[in-house]
Amino acid sequence: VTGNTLYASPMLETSRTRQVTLLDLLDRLLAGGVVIHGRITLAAADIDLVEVDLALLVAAVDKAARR
Amino acid sequence: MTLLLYAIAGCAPEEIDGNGLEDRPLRAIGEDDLVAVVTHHDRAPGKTGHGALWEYEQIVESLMARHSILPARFGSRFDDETDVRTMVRDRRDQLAAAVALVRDAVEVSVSAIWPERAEGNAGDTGANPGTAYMLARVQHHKQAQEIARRLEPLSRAARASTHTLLSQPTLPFQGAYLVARDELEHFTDLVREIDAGLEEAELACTGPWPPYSFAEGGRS
Repeated sequence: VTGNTLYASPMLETSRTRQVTLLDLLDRLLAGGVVIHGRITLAAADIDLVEVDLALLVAAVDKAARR
Repeated sequence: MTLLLYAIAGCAPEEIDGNGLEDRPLRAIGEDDLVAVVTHHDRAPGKTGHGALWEYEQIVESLMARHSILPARFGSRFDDETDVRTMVRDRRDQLAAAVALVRDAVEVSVSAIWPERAEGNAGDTGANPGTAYMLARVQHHKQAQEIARRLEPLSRAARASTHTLLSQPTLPFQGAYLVARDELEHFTDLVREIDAGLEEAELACTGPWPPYSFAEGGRS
């Protein structure tokens, strides 16, 4: 995957940087891209949350809903 | 029959190859130099979990490596090829303009990050909790606006940009920048330079991403 950390402040913890990368990915996949109105079948409840912080997911989905 | 959409690509149909989700071959629907990249499925794939998200992203990134593309929102589907052709035909001018905007460019994300802190802490104002909370919100918004101002050189270094303030309490600024591929290193150096002089927050920069934030055209 090319979407990666290009730069992170030395003051940031690695875990925080990883969270930001995940948020950036979710934000783009779920709230960005070409929109085909009425034809999105993604069910947010189906997302596997094993490695994804729930707050990050909610933020991305909430942003998608507001657009 | 279900068709899953991955991207709109600015290339001829015969230039699309490779596989999509569930190892279904990628197909191009369209004509001339604008096609929708899809896979055919007997029914909608059941996987919509974390693994499918990463797999989808890798497929889109492999397309981006070879073509100018507008990535589709994850989960976009059509019932038949006629719907796809109609969508490409009806939105041709808009899609072609967006493909031209992203040609030879990638998306970069820049986030300003605050450490975790208590909501409503606006200093010792002596105000009641409700007022203190509102004062803190106002103060945080002003701080976020100041961070956005400090990051303005990034917009000038990008082909297009968009940003949001305070999408989360600890994220005062999130920006998306469309950057020419050969300017990526220079852009990253600029982020590093701004971060070194920024005391209000810490910066993180991720990418290169497919141009998800610019798939509907440029915003700045």
